[in-house]
Amino acid sequence: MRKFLTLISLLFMLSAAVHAQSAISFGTDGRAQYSLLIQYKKAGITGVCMMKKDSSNIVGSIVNEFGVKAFDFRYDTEKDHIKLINVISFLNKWYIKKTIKADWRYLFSYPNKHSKSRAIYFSKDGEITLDNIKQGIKYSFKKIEE
Amino acid sequence: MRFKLLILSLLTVMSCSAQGRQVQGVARDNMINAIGRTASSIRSLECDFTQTKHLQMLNDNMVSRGQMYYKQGGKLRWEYLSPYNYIFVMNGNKVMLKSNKRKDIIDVRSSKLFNEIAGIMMNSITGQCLSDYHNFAVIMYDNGDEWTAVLFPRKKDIRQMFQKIVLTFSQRRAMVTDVQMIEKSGDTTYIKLKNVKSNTPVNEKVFDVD
Repeated sequence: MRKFLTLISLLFMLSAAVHAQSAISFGTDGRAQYSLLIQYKKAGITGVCMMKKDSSNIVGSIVNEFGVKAFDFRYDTEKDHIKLINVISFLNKWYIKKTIKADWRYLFSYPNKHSKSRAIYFSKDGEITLDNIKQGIKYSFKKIEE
Repeated sequence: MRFKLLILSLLTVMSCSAQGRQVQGVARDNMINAIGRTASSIRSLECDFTQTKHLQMLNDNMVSRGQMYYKQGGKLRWEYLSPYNYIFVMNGNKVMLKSNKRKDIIDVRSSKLFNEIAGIMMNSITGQCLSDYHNFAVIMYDNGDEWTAVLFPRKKDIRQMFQKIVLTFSQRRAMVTDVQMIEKSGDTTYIKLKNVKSNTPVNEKVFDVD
């Protein structure tokens, strides 16, 4: 019985360690490149998200496969503050930017921030899904191996 | 003030010499006509391409590779093979966008912006956009073996995406060799066309949109 309890405790600890990982993983050079699918109801757009991390910031660009920019961002990891830059005209509305900012802040602060309206799932094939449950927006990230 | 003027003049000279000598008047018209004649004689095109996207925000490049097929009558297949798979097929008014996770078929008539982007892609490859006076102001440069066309979009919605589009043509073949799109943010997308084959049979199936 004692052995069994020890095993259970170990499994819980392992599970907690797995969940403590941040959602996005960066290479040793601080770079990360993901394919991105954003779904809202039945509509969806695909693109590529390229990011770089240093000691206090994560900067990134979201472009479609042809290279047309959706937006750039700068996330301050210490202040938990995100700024959107060069936003394409059809996304450049205050209510859209507000949602994007909140979603991406949640993504980068994972697993330190709790939210009733957002969740992050990890699939076996390495895909990461950020689910904005309240507004029905899903962001799926899949690492691009260069 | 004199110093500023000197720097400005130097920069202007440097920028012109990189693209070649600006061509105007009859010589310019002759260049555009030569490209136009080649464009209208192209029944099909097939090539490999390398796309290098420079992201100013990250001071880094994103490189992708793929294949392109074009056929007269508004048919274009633009396929990325590495490092991601993505297919764009335009056939008349229908466009298919296909990635690993999703396939969408769009009627370009339903999206003005999409229609314009698709038109720019198609007309840039053939060089037909040089005579699209309605949408672009064009400056031509002669650099010996190469001609360069700098296109400034006239429409506001296109200007929001691209500050200018630079097309480089082989002078000998009067055909596009590379396309560069420069955005307001300072990002650039450089597409180099390689192993170009023109007027060879292209399998009609590559343009299927269903």
